[in-house]
Amino acid sequence: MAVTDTLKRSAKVVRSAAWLGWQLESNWADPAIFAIITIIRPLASLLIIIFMFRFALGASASADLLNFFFIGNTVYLFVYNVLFGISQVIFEDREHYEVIKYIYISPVNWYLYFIGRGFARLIIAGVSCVVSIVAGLIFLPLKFNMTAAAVPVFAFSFLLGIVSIFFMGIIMCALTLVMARHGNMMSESISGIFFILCGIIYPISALPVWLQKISTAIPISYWLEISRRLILNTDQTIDAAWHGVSTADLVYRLGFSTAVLFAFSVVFFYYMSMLARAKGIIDRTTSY
Amino acid sequence: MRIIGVNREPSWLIFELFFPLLPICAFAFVYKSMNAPTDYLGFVILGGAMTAIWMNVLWGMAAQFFWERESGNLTLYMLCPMSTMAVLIGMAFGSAFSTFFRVIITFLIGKFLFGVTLHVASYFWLFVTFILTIAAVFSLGMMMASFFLIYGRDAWNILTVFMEPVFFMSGFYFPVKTLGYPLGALASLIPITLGLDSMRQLAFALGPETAFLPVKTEVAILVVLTVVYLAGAKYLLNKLEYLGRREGRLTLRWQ
Amino acid sequence: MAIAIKTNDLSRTFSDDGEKKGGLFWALRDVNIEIPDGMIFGLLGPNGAGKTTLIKILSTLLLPSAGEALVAGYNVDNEYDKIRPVINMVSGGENCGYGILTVAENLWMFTQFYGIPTKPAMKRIKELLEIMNLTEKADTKINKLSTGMRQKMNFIRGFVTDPKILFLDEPTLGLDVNAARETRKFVMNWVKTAEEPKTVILTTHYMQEADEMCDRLAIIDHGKILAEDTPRSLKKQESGGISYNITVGYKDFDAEGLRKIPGVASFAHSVLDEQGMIEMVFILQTDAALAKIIEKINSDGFSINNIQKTEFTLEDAFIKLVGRRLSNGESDAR
Repeated sequence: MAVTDTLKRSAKVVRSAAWLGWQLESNWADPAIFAIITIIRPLASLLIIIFMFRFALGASASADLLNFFFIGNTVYLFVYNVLFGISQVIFEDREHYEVIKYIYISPVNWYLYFIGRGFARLIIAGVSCVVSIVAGLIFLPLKFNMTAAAVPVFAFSFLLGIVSIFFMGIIMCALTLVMARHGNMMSESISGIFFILCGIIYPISALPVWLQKISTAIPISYWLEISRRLILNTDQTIDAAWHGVSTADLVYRLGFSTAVLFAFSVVFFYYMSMLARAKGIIDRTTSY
Repeated sequence: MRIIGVNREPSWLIFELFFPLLPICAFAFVYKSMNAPTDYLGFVILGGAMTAIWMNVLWGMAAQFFWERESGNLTLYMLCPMSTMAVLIGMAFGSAFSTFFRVIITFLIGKFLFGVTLHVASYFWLFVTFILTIAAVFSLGMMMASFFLIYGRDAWNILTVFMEPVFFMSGFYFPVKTLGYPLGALASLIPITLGLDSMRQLAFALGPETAFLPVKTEVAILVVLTVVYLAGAKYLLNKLEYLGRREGRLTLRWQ
Repeated sequence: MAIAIKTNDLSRTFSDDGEKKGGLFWALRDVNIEIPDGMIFGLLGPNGAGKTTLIKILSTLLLPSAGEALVAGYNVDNEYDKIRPVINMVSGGENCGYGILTVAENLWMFTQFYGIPTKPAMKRIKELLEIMNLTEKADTKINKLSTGMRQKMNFIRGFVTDPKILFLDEPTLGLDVNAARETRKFVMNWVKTAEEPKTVILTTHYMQEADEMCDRLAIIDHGKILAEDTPRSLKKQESGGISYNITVGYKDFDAEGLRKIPGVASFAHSVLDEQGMIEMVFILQTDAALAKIIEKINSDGFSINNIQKTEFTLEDAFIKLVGRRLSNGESDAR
């Protein structure tokens, strides 16, 4: 009974926070303009890479390379959006709306509240993803060869991937609790770490060896490789870093690294929120 | 004030210097993974350095009125007997401190991580195009800042949303010639497009092969853009400040 | 009667500007208070006295550096999850909600964080909006509200969760006279008529507000509790004298000389207007000292505009304890 109550309460927190996040994300403009804007950004980032390929390789750009990049770029939409969404919450609540102390002293589970706030951006990422796929199908020689048998594995790894980004978002949130506001810079930039490390637009094997080691510890890297293999229906992609590792093994690694990330995010979030409370900076504002 | 503020929060070093360099490195790795010539990596490095300046103008100057309004300072600025344009330029120079470091570090990364080397055809014209690009970009930034006098979160979001399209259109990571002439001409309205194209032509051995327009033509267009945007900024700042005051939006906060 | 709040040698330090030298600023020092259930408890003190720090610790926003604080019987250090469901807080003079949400939406959202089902939450919101005369603004976005209206909404947010213990930090700041009066009445009524005991911890700059509302008061300065009692007892305890208000056009007066006049128990002053009109408050041991004060002022070549013998007020008690007026930190006294 107590467990059911806790679950119900948690669901309520996530739901209200998601509602709030959506209101804040979507309420500022006409819905039509909002929709257009949701489309423009992913299209532009897709076009940047396409034109880089066109410039460097001309007509010789292989379908494998384009598919590799396209899947990475599409998955990155989720990474970027969710991380951006969650990491902005502290700044918004603390500096912009000045409500953070009222939320902090409420019995709300802060961890769940931030998860909830990230949902609005997940929806936006979903829309952007659809737009990106449609654009890709029109302009690029994309192959979608996923077999029916691969769908459950794909769905499971996709879910794990999304969950892992939420945990990373919480870690970023915990960091921002003890930091001053850095405008848009921080959220824009921090997802760049994953952009560079996880083989989003180039194979991990293009990185120096020491960076490859870091890459292969991040759940997003596994998620991307699994998605690429299942969508393209192949046992290995052009990324030599994963040659010799089976898809099943990648799924296990994704599951394990996500679990570790979850444990770390809980501990780190708790530690940083207590640090902010000890320092008395939960409700401070950056006045420059 | 901005320099002092930035220095009192040491975490800026990570967020203002280190993290913005990551996407630049990522785009350089794209070319590397395609075994492209080193000059292509140089194109990205130069694009990345100019990104720092563009972002400074966008967030350090244009959008600064958004934060000033939220913190209640905008009203104080408006009450002071000083030019709004002077305030904006001051703000941009305030954050130029971190921008300068970022540009330097970008070039160092280019040199030492990716082995990029410069082959400068003319230092004089390189300097002229750089200065003109900065002047035109600042003028455009001031024009954009005027919109923050009456719009809040919506203007902020539009600015965020147009970041990638501007990166794409201006050829931050590939020569604008690749877009073709009609799109390239449209992109030339953003001063950084022609500035980048000229500087690539002047600083890299493979630059002239990827030229969109001759350097001197691009310089002439940059001069025109500077004058037009400066006049536009003056007109819009006055006009929108008046509108903001009439509609009471200068003090509308927490949007 | 159960205890709502209890502190034992509660202290809080912050690193000051001399952080590099290991300098510490004592925001609270060995604070011991005990507040029973069902009363309005006031904290009076000048700016920087430690009132907000104390409220922040009790409301689980800040950890103490030393000592112990119990709220509703739970320790703020490690039992904050048991404290939070029974408390709420209202701070005056600041933003308090999401500007692009309406008044009703903002309030509803906060009720959700307290796990209140929507139906009773909306009913309660409606009632409180009516009481605070804000019903017609229920569907207005709060960035379109005046400062006073926003403060009213913030006030409702504090009550909408029906807390057992409510912290009010300058709650009437920004409200007009009528709204402030209504607000005070509402708080007193809320405490008196509640089925379960309700406790309010109030900080205010308005002496009359404290006098009118509080069952007990603590006077705090430099992080220390200087006195704690009912307003009536405080006035009585500290009223070892007669209070006079003297208004003079007397900018560069000889404060030291006035203070040294025999029979002056306490003296504070504040600037009344731009012309340099000064209001002096004297607490005298006997009426006889008044003649000497008048003589001194006249001999310095200044004229007295007004002299008024006043009832010994809470402010007089405050001046006697703290050494300066609450509303004006530049005055001095002994």
